[in-house]
Amino acid sequence: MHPTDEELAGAYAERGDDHAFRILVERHQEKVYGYLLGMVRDRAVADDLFQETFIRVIAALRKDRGSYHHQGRFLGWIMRIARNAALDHLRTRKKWQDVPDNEDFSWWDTLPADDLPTDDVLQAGQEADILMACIDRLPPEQREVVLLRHESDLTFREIAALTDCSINTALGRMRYALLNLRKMLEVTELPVGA
Amino acid sequence: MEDQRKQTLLHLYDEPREDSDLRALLADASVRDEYRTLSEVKFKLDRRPAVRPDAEVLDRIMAAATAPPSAQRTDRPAVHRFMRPRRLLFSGLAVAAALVLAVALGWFSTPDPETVPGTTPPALAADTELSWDDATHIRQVYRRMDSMRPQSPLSWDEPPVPLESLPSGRPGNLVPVGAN
Repeated sequence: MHPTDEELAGAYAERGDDHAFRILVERHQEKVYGYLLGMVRDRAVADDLFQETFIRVIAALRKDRGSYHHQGRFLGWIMRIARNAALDHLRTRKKWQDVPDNEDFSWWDTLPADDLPTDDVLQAGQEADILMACIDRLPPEQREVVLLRHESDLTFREIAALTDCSINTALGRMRYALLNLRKMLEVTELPVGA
Repeated sequence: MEDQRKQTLLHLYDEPREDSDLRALLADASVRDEYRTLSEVKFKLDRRPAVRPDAEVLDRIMAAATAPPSAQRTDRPAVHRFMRPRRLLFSGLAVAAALVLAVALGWFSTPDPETVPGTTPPALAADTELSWDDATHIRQVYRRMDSMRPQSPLSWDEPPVPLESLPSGRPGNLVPVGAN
């Protein structure tokens, strides 16, 4: 029988069980990292944010044992920390983009383009890359709901709590995200049902 | 209708409400078409391969997890700056040092009365015999002046008079002006 997240976290916080913490990290690494990579779209940055997330988790567990119990599932607690780290990074990046030091650089270039993924991406022929490129083109709110649901495996109730909106709003964002992805995939001639 | 579509979405992700019946929701053709469309996209999203962080990242995290808590950065408790004893001690020492420095500067910057001209007491000036008063030629001049004074009816303090008005018996080498 596999120990629960709460049992593993308690073993680390109370007894310093490093093995228990390693199991926790390995159990959730794909959920946390998939979300972070989808948010920042850069593997090196996602690596840094992933490390920062778990460093914060370590500090929190040592400082206040079991503080996540009051915030629902352990995964939801970690995802809140990861989301804060990602948003901090995105805010910092936006601040730097607002003040470009190159005169040839245009602020308008930082805005998401309305066109579809480029031919280079399409010719890569990899379904995952095409899908990721389509997800990148979604509005930020819709993209985040898709990532939290499909990468992090959070429920819509948890997504609503994490993003500070109602469940109906989270469901609406997910629905429009899927419909938009369908349109993009049709244009790229990727067989949707394949 | 909008709520029905959201209900089907909850069924699609295995989070249906207890009182929700998918079969009843899909009775409408448009809802059924959208449900099929959303299912296809979800199927593709579910097939995406999972991504993992670099192995070195995991090693660094575990190194931090096994490190003693003291090795990690900790925030010191906030202390009111005016209540810190060390700061109070340093402030007191600084004030004392400034006072000592000011007193010392005032002491050494006061002028010495002996070195300032015009401040010598009169009694001291009268009793003092300067070194150049002892010179031999000066003494000779004084003696000559004293020997000449009884022979002349003039006094040093009287106004000058012409030589003709002087009485006879004057020195022979003196020639009156009208003699020319």
